[in-house]
Amino acid sequence: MKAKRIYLILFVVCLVLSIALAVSAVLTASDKPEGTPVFSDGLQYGKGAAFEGGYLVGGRNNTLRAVGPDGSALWEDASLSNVVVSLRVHGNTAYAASGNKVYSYDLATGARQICAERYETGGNSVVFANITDIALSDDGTMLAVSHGSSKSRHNLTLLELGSGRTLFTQSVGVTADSVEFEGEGSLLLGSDSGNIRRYSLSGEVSDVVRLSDDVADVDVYWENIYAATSGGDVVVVSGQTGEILFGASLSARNALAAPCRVTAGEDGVFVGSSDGTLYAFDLSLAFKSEVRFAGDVADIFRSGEQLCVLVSGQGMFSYPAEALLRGASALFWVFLAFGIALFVAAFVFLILRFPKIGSAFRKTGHVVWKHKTAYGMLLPIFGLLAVFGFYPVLVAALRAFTDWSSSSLEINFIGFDNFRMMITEGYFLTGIRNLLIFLASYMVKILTVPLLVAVMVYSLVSDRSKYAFRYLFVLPMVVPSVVSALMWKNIYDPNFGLLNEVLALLHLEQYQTSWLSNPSTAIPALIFVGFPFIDPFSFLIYYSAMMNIPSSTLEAAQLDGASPVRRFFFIILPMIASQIKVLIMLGFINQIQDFNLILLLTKGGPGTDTYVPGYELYLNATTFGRYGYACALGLLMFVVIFVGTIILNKVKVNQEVEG
Amino acid sequence: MLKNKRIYISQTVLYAVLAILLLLAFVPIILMVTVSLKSTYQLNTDFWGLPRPVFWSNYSVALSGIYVNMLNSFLYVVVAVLLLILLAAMGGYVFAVLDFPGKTVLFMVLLSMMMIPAVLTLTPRYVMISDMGLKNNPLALILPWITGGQVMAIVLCRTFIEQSPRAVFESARLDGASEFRIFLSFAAPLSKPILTTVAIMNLISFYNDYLWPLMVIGDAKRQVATVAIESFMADSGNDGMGQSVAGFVLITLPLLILFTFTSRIYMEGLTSGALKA
Repeated sequence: MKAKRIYLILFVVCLVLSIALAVSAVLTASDKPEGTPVFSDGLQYGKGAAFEGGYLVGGRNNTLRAVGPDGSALWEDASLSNVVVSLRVHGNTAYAASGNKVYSYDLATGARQICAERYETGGNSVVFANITDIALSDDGTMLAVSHGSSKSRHNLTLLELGSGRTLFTQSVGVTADSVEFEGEGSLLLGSDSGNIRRYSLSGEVSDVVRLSDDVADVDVYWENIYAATSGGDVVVVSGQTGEILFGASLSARNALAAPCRVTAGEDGVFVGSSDGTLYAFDLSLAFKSEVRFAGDVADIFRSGEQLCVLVSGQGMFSYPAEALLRGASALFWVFLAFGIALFVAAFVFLILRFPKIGSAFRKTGHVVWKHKTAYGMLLPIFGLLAVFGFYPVLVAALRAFTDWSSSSLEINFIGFDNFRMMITEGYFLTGIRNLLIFLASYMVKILTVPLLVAVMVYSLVSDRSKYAFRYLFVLPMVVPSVVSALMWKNIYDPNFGLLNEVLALLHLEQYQTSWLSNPSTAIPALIFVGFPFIDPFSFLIYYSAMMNIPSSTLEAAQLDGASPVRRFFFIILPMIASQIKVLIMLGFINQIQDFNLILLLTKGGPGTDTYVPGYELYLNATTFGRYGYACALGLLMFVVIFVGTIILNKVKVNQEVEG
Repeated sequence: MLKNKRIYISQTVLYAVLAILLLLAFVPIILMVTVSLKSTYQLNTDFWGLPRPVFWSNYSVALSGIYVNMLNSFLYVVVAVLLLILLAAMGGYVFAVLDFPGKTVLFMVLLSMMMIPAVLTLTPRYVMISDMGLKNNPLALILPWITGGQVMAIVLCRTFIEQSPRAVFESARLDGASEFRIFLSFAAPLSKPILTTVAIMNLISFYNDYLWPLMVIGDAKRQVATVAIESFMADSGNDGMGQSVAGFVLITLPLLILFTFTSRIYMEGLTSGALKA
């Protein structure tokens, strides 16, 4: 009696704990590292920086303001004539580059002074034009300015602060958005040509590395260079050898990733991306976590142990750097493991408390255990089906009614708007019209020539000839469909194409045209692909069906004096009717979906003349990123295929030979 | 005899018509071979002539352009087909021989996947692969390929094993062999013919796949041959027509070789799916 009560209590305790752990596991998994809003408002932001008594924030509305650690306003400079493009802090002074000048601010009062606006070159004093970035040496005595009046006339200039003396100025050639001091003795410059170059303090240049894309930002930590390209790659480059040590691709995580800032420290690397995401990596660029925001990430910067993120239209958030780098997953697995363990324990106690339930469970468990081989062998099969089959079906069916897209994180239910859009947007209607044309011509193609050829081969007397012709007519199918499509593209080529050469040979030059890009010939050209339309697959099906017709039936008809034409229509055709039905069904299912030929030959063009719904779906799922709309197209096509197949299935096929 | 003469004439006409049709059907292939052996100059000046001299260097240029991608194709396809026939053999055996609760329901669930057209799952699968960080990863091809191919494969294997004598399995079971042991030692070797058909059928379809690799593999070095040949053609332009067409021939060769040695199974593989459906 007493034991039973203890079991019950233990059951309840374990159950409650396991539920609590499951909830915390879900929370840790779904909840990204906790950030604290420093301030929130709807302004568009530019650059930011931290100083001892708070933060500096540059707005897109040509302002610079200082706020306290709690977000309270300290001072504001609203009299700038340009956006602050770069902010550097040293001691009590902040340096801000805006337009053609570098200003210095007294951090306590906000008093502004012009710090630098000219440099010397060839004995002349010249004003800066369009500064893109500045950098300050660690001791605060030198200022590097990356500036240029145009893309091709970009310079890097190093000034001595205080005296304003120009230490060197060097032409760069392309716009360079990022300059950074590398220790005491050199500067790094990342440019739009993808080059990262090193400049000594006297202006000697050497190449460090060339990246695949323009360099959006460069940071230096220890002896390594951390760089992000605007294409979304992040790399760690050895400062000594110029070798790329580690790399990570943000675009693999988010196609829209466009890094604006990379900052590296002893604990890890953070990358802010203007698509509204903050990525955290460890020093070897192993991914740790990401935080998504509802606006563009304008800038990220370190403030002690905190990482501050300036988000346009949202405000500023600060995150404990360590929390971002922890990667929520470890905790999640711990919670999950304990949760499951406790859940199992709870059930053990429940069974101990109520032996009857126990026996029911034992029976089920026993059944599963008894058939463990069967279930075990089916596990990988149904696992794959669930992940890559049924789950996508479910997502497609549900999200067809949402505005799911690559450009927004939110997914809203929008009812039948996607389906309405198919009508209003118009591409879909063009597509349907073309699809009907292609479908009808396809049906005509597979129901005539391959059938005729099959009958002809079947009618040959010699078995060896039958075999040889079957072999040869099937042989073209070894050519991959992509290759045969490209070969037809070649045939239609306006300069080298076989078709135009044939016309030239027949002195019909006036009919030569650019077949695939001429609106009046594009669709006929697509239909003509595969001439003389002996589809090996249909041919094989017809032919094997004919080979299965009992020879006695045909011989009887022949003795009755039936002509070959009568024999074809009244004996052969009815005998292969079910195969014809299968071919029509498969053709219907494939033709509605298939757009490989269009993708390879015309890309839907000229204009939208050769669009089909499948191609529209492909474009929306990839290039346009309108996933919800693409799902809606897929769902509609599925329904059409489904209903069409059912109707075709209902058509009765009479296999009897009428006698 | 009059009748014999009529048959002779009709047969001759048949041969003639078939020969003409055959020639027309082979036009793209003949064109492919001749263009692949011509230089740009020969194409420009003498389109209809035979390649004289034969321009073999088109092939070496094409090979150096796409051999990486052809190797990728072989690797991905072979791995996928091996995994697929393993799953097909297991699934076929389980559904044909073993009895267990839920067998019918599970088989129906499996069959229901055949009703799902690729267009319905294309978008979510594409986004899912991107979200999983599997883009540019061969698994992004192999796993969906297997998922798509296994359903028909299991159905074919099940039918095949059901038609084979059960006595072997029964006696092995009586001898105390475990189910998995019976599968490995008796069922799998027994299903070799159908597994070969399944393997070839899927090998062709995986090798031919164009759209899915185009979507999920962006890295040119990891790309498969069918997609690579299109960009190779675009890169070569009109001046490199000969070499891009030489690339077409190179990509076709593996399937041609496969067809030459396995033509019966090859044809069976293509039609068995359609006829059993």
